[in-house]
Amino acid sequence: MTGTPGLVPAAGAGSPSGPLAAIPAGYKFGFLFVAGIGVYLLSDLVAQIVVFAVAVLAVLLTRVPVISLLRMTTGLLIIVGVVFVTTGLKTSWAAATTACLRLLTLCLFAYAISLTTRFSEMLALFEAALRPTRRLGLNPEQMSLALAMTVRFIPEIRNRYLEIREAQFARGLQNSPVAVIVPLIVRTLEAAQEISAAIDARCYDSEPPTDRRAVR
Amino acid sequence: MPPRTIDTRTISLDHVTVNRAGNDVLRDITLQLNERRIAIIGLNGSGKSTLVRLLNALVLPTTGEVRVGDLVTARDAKQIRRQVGFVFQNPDNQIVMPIVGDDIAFGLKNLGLRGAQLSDRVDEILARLGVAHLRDRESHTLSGGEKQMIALASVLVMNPSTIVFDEPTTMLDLRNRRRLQQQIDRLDQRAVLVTHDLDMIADYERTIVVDDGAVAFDGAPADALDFYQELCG
Amino acid sequence: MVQTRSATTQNTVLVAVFAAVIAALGIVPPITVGVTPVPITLQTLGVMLAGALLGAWRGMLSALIVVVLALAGLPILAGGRGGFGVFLGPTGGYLLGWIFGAFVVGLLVQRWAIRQDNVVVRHLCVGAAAIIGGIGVVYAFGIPWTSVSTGLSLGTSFTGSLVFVPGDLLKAVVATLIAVRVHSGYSRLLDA
Repeated sequence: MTGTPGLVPAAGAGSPSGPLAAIPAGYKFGFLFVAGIGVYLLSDLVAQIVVFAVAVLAVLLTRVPVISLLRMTTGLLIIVGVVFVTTGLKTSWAAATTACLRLLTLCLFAYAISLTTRFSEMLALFEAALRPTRRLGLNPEQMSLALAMTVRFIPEIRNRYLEIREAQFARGLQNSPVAVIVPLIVRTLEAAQEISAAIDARCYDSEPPTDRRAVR
Repeated sequence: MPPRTIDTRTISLDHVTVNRAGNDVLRDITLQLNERRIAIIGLNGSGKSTLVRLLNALVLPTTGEVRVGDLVTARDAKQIRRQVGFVFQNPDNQIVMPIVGDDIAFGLKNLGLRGAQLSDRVDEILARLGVAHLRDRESHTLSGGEKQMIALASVLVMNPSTIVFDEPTTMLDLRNRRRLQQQIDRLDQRAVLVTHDLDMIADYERTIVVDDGAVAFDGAPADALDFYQELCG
Repeated sequence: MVQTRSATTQNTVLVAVFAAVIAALGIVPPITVGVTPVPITLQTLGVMLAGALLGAWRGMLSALIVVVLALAGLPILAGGRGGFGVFLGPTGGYLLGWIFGAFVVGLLVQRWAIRQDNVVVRHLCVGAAAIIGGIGVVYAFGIPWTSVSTGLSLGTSFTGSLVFVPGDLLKAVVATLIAVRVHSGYSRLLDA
């Protein structure tokens, strides 16, 4: 997947492959949770290196080209470098190695899991996780709809932003985020009115019915 | 294909007034809508968009009553919206799901459909409109014409007996305008069309001209167009 | 006009489109504002705006949606990042902070700042809300997280985070100007 959004990583380009893709998302996140605690319990350097090697292997098994992997993790690697030097100078080089191995191991596992799990599968998992929020007065169906609508409207709003910015460039307002974002927000609020009308018109029931009677 | 027996009920407006922030947007409108093809024309701001939003309970009358068959919009909004579908001017605001197929399914899910029944209906409607190839596309990658066709499909799939179109061709070029017109002409359903596109409605049974919140003319399209042209000066 | 459009539907839509605004502001080209030489990304501006314009609960839900979508792998964080790796990384706490930051900005704006009659005072109060919620609360999650995730001391994490303060202060100013302007046109936005 590249940084330029063809946003929904659905069919084609970014579809996950490799052996890890076949494992259900729930198990993978369960593993990540355990690993998150585990790396902090491991104090032996050799064990830490072994686990780190497993994490590297997991990322390579995603079959994502190494170049893309490096691009994705550049920011992380820079921070890890800074942490290594700072901790090394302040505390000890052994502590620095441990801290960096932990961080990298965990992040690589996380990347491996993200890269081998379909966006829709991930979303389903979050929706399942949000289900208990019903008790807090939130409605999980509404959250699902909101999640889907957000994905739908991100490219729309991005394009609208670029259009308005171009128009303001022409009027010499290129350095004024206010001049771009105020009209963006106003248009978005107006669109929101129409979108809710359109949803209601298609029989959306914000109160989930207790019995769903099928229609003919 | 499901049997398309369309049971079109009379829509009636009985002394309807709509007031918004102290101003009457519509004044004392009484209409019986029975025809299969009804056009509504009028200047911008005349109240025609509010008028059609009364028909599926998106707007409720301040005084008076709107009925679809024996259902009343103020009371039975949910049942009425199953009867009266609505195609909006800007399809960007009507398509709410990131993937086309899911968007078509949205309305059906709201009606309680699930599983194979659901996906069959989605496939069927896309095929009927000749856009089956768009099913797995991301909504935002569609062209303007494709978007309006999907917006129509998403309403049509719910099998309403009346479909209201609120200036559906405004965002379209000439070719897509013709294409949409063909699809509307082909509908078994009753169509209520708000438009500025006067050649679309030449063979409609009835044309209503709305001016300044009231019905200024109600009759055959040819006469309505004469009246409208005079109104525009 | 009497509308049967349910307030619930409208709230769901507002939460969703504002989440889309936050996400979109993260993936549009960064801008250079005024005196800063470094281009800044506008994503945290979006977080401040969601709270300031929609209020505490809806603003918080918008931020939550962005975080959930980013965790699920959508490349919507500034620079086209996304995925669980970002969350577990050194800057993950800031993401978590957005959710509570938007809430606090919203709470302060709707209960206090936007009710000020004097226009100068109103700007100052909204600005204070944006700084307290959008910077204070967000950093309160971000800094300890960095410290835990990297093993650096809290003090070092704090010093490191100072690099981002000028840019974020600038965003708070911009968010204030936008929020006050939009609220004066849509005075009922916070009613629901």
